[in-house]
Amino acid sequence: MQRKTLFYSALALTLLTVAFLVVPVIMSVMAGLTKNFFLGIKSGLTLEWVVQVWDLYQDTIWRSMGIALACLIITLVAGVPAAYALALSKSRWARIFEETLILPVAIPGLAIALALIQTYGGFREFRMSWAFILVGHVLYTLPFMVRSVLAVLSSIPLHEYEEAAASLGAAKRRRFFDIVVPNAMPGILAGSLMVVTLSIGEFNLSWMLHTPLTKTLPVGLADSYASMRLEVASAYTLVFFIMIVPLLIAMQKFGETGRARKSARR
Amino acid sequence: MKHSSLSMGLLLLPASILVLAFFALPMVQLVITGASGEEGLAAYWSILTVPRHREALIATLVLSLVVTLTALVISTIVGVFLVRNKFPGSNLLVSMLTFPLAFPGVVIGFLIIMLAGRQGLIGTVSQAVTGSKLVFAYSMTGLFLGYLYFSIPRVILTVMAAAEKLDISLEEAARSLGASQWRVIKDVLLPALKPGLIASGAICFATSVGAFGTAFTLATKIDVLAMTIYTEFTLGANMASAASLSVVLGLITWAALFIARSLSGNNVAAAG
Amino acid sequence: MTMTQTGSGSTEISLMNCAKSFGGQQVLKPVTLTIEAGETLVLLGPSGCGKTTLLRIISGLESPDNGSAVLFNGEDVTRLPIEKRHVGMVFQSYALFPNMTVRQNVGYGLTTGQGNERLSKAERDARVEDMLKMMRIHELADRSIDQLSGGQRQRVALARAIAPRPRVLLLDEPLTALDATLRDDLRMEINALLRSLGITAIYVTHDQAEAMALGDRIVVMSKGTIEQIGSPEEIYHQPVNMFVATFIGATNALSGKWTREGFVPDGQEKPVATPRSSAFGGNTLCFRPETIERIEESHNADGSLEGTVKTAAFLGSCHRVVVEMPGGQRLTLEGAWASAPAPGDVFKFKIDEGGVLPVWSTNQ
Repeated sequence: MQRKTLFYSALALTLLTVAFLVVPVIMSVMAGLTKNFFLGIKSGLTLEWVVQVWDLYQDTIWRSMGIALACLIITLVAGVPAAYALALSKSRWARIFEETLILPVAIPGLAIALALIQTYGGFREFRMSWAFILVGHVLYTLPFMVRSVLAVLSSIPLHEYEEAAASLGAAKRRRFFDIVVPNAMPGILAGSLMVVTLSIGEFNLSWMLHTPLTKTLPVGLADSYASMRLEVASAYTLVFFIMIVPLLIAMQKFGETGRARKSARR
Repeated sequence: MKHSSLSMGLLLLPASILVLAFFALPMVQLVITGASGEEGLAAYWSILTVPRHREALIATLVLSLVVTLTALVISTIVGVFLVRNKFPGSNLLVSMLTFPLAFPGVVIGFLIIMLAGRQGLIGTVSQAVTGSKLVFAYSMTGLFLGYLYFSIPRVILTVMAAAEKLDISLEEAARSLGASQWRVIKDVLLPALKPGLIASGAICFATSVGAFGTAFTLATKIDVLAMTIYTEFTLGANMASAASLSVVLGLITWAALFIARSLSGNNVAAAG
Repeated sequence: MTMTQTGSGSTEISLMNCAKSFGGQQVLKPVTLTIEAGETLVLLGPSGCGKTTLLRIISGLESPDNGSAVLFNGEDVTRLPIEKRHVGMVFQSYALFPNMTVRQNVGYGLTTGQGNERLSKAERDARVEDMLKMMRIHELADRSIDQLSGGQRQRVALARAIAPRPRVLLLDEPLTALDATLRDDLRMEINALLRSLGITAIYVTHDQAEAMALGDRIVVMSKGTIEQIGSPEEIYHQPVNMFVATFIGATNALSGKWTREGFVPDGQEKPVATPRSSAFGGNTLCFRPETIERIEESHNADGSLEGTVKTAAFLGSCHRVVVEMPGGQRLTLEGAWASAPAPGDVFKFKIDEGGVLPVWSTNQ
């Protein structure tokens, strides 16, 4: 009977953990849709709070999307070629460069933000614009793009593909766009999803780097948590979930198909 | 295929510019600023000599350590359980356990308020049952729960990945040799999971040490290091102190992640 | 088979002092060699002999040391990168592009603008179609590479390399990744293809059977140098040294002494082969397993040898025995004999006069 007890206690712990993670999310969603959270569902359902959030905070939503998109473009332009170069080179310098590139992930956003303010805070135009936040996001997300693409490129015989393409007359540029990029695509897609998701949810850097005119969604969230009634804060959180959950689902699905393809090849 | 160092340089150029201009240079600046205050280089010791800073450091380290250990225990049990037992709905459970992976710290702070804040679930239930309202979102317990919230999904993912690779015949062999359930876990399962557990534990620790958003939302009375830095910067306008503390904070998380990566080859975000 | 190959395939290739060093170590000693237009040349040798390096120098993937020159029909291409050399290459792993279908793979070389050809879309499609038909992979045209078997991949790789009508076809161990029966079939097919195309081809392999079957000439290499160049027959029957003799085909090296009377094996008094002036002083007699004549035990023939059968096997077309000589040396012998020898039997034989390989000494 020992095994059965073990099974049920593990199941109980699992369900408890799931509840711990999921119940607050459900409560928050409910709170954003009920007339008065204190009175509960019986006070009636409403979209009033969501509309209010839209009126008050829609600029943060657009700005976050814009920053995420700009961040994606920059990390693609900088990250994919870098990953390609790192996949080709086995030199010590390449490894050192890789370490440096990854480093911003290992340093808390707060420290990076302070450093950026220290160095570039004096450039007023820059400091006041959303580009300042973008810089922080790029630093933070670039390692994920590079890692993701590098992982795919290291798992394929890249050298041979390139040699074959060259033997067929393809010069460097053609090889990069015809062979390297399409074959790195799973990594590029996974990296892109990661970059957009992280950028939309990034708070630590954004909070330090924002100005009243350059608030992003998570900054607005923190704002509403501090100053708005619970229903509005919840509705705002709901909007955030609606933006982020499709990305998370895509990432999970993508991870599954990626795994399935890998195991099918084996 | 031969690639000239010129073309390699061109490929690395955009990333190099970004990292040099917006990371390396500012970080150097930060280290210099840290030593630019009245105490000079001694500012780097302030984390040990100034009581308020020392307390924040200790609180941060203790909290992170406890969170890490708790997350490891829960995630190992749940992760192994879900890998070994497939039942209707088990995949859904896995999805729900890993979804919060990308929730930012602020949102997690808010979720903890929903759970244990002034209008939270636990408060309402406890009032109905005992008559007194249980509110602990803004205390150390709330912070602990928040950190646990963002740690569990990450650790579970690592544990499940490691558990899927386990060779089940090892356990069968141990059982055939007469080992009890407990002995199998202790002698076979845990040693096999150990590298993954150490690595994800270190990542979890680093993430907790550097986390800011959750503490910020909970506006807790407990000063964790990240909050101390923030206060020094905004209220105290003490840039040198904020800078030196940031550098120390960065060194701690970097060291923890460095250990994690040399043990596992993985890399996970530090910010929470 | 529709053959639309132009003369572009018949290119004469000259290598002059082609050498290659990696990190101060010369992995390829200077090679001077001319590959005639339309010829199939096989580079044969054990791994690490420099054959692949030589192929990569011809292809342009590797640049040779200073002082080396590679000429295509007299034109110096030494410093020309591979994408400008207009060569066709088949890789050991095929290196088919997984992001393209079979058709796209085969057509890729027609889109890069190499050579002097400028083809219209219709011409390119027609060419690809021809190639697919010729290699009998037409029905696979729109499949992805993942869906192909090893043999099919091989055909696609060949079609892709030939489609742009390269000046020379370079094949780097193209059959190594396949299983044995498929290998034999494809070997014959490649042979027929090369003959019908009339293209200059250079084929790298470590498999001597493949080399014999395919090569107009074989270049035997070892440790970065060329040991011998010759037709398969020359290489087999007239190896220039012990390395070639033992690397190509099975060879028995009987130890003894070459004297004025002929070859006297160790532990025997009478010579078993007629004297040769160049062999005098040598210590080995080399011969192939099949160049012997079995003699009835009762018969007494001049120059016969005798040993004890250790193992015996019937191979279908012939018998093979391993015979232990009185000195303890073991020889492998083959023949279509009327009676099957059995272990323990006394085996009496005579080495064919024409079967003696011109290698006289182990320290050659």
